Amino acid sequence: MNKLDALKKEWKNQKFELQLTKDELHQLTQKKSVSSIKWIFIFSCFEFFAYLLFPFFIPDYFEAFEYYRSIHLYNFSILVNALGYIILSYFMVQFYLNYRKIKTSNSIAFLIETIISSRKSVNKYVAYNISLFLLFIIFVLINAFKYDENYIELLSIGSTINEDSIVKMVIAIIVIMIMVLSVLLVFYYIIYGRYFYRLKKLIEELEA
Amino acid sequence: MHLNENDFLQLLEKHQNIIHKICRIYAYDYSNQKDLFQEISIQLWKSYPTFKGKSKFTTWMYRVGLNTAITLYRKNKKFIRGEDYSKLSELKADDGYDETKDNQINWLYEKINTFSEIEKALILLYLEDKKYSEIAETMGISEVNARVKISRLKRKLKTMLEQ
Repeated sequence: MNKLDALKKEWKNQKFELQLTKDELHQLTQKKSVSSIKWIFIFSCFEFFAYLLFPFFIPDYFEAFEYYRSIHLYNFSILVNALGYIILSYFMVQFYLNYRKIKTSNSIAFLIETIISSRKSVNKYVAYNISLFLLFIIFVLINAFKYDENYIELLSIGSTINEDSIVKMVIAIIVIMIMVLSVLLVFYYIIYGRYFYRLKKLIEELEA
Repeated sequence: MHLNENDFLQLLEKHQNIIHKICRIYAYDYSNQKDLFQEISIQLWKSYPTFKGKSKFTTWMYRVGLNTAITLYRKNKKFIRGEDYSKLSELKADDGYDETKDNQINWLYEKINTFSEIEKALILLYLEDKKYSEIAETMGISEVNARVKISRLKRKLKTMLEQ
């Protein structure tokens, strides 16, 4: 018998001093799970609901529609909002269906893949939402310069505001947008980044 | 349902060493081992309704246990970074292979500790004498891939033994 076989035999004969009784095991199974999946599920639900409740926390959100009407964007703003809710329901259903597929009795590779795909639907949702929001802001700005007196004045020749300050304003808007996006990205990295990076590495190792 | 629970607990009690082994492989210290043991027990009970008796109870236990240890369990990192790290490096420094039984097992756990999460699962299944088909199914990889990976690990372990 070689050393490896001897080692294997020892492994099989190993004893653990701690042997739990049925009652003790029963108590353990009734405790609360602290698994990462549970936390991801809670965070994801929170994200969905945060976007769902978003309008109610923004002051003047509903009054803003009157402004959109004045710059000929009323129908567009309704459409974008409706689209937002359609996207929300689609991804919530997709997330839930994927989440339900997560079963610890699956193979290791399959479990990791289902966790990744379930989280992906939330990421996609956030990405679509942010793009939709940015697109909407751009349209509002374009139409504001076309129809809003205050904005038109900014562009008119002989205005007290020179071109330089308009350039500065545009740069300021872009910088603010980039900052908001970076904060979101850092936030996502802190919550999910490392965990999902690890999951991807595990899949790579399994498939190698 | 209550009858089911009794069956489950009986089987769990009988095969609890599987969980003890997984905990010793994947958790760094006693408190983490205890937490992991609890989490695996919870996950086993939670997924018991999906156990339809198609596979053996122990096969199913390895899967749930390893999945919990690898992907679901959040390790208490503070502890690993702290004093236990120095303990780990001390263990690594002690490379001698001793012939006495307990030391052999301890030596093996120390070596396994240096393996990756995936390698740990593979070596456990190998040491437990699982068939390649079962290892492949548990890991979710092809049987060929499982064979390649196991033989690589066996070589790795052999070199360690001869050092």
